[in-house]
Amino acid sequence: MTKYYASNVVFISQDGMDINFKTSDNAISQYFTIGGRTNLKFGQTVKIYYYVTKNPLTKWVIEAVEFTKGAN
Amino acid sequence: MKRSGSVFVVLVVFLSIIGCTSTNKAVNSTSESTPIIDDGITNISYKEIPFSEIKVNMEANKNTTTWDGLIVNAYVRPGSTNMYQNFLQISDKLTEGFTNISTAHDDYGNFKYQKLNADQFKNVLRKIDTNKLYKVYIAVYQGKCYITKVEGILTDAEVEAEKAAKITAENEANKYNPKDFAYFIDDFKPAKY
Repeated sequence: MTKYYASNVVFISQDGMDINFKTSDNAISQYFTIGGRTNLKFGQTVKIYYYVTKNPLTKWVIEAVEFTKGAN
Repeated sequence: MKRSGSVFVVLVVFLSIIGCTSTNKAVNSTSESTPIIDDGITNISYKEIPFSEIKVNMEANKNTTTWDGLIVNAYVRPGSTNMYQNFLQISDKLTEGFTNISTAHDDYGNFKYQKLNADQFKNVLRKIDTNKLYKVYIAVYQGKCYITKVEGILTDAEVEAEKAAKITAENEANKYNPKDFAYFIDDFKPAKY
């Protein structure tokens, strides 16, 4: 089963296809899989469009990263 | 001689009477061979009734050999299909109480749904808007109902226009400026999230 979400998050780091974001209150951080470079800077606020799927392991996959207007 | 003459006249009259009777019989047997069902369904006069009175009207028609025509306001959606019949489901409520009614008047594939064959029937289903109240024409024969017409089905042009409007709205909802994004996949559709 695949579910699609969009969330406002803060960029932490990217290492190849692994990208790490956290919530602005630092409560949660999550690694995602991504298909390309983003050139984001640490602490940059963005909106991510992603899906979560279980097949059978849970996968978090980024499909788009949007610059947050007015932020940064 | 006079007597034999009158016997001859009586014989001629008798024979001509027999001849007339047998000719009438032949005419009658020809008209009897025409299926009553097909004759009747094309000449039904329909009356408008509340949806809740369909059953009463069916019961009243049960032991008769006449076609009754009913018009009800109903929501319509596709019903089941078997080898011989296609069904439509109708209800006076949008989401519940749907009744399966055949669009064929018998079990032998003789469709009477606006004289549509099975493929054309599928085409009609494509045009039904399940959120719209239609005037549904129902023919009743020996207590059995058959839908003969659904008034106000979208035309081909309206179906195409609706489809085009849907595609336009979808494209509009998925519009984005690539400059606003640090990354996006090839078939990215923002409206999906």
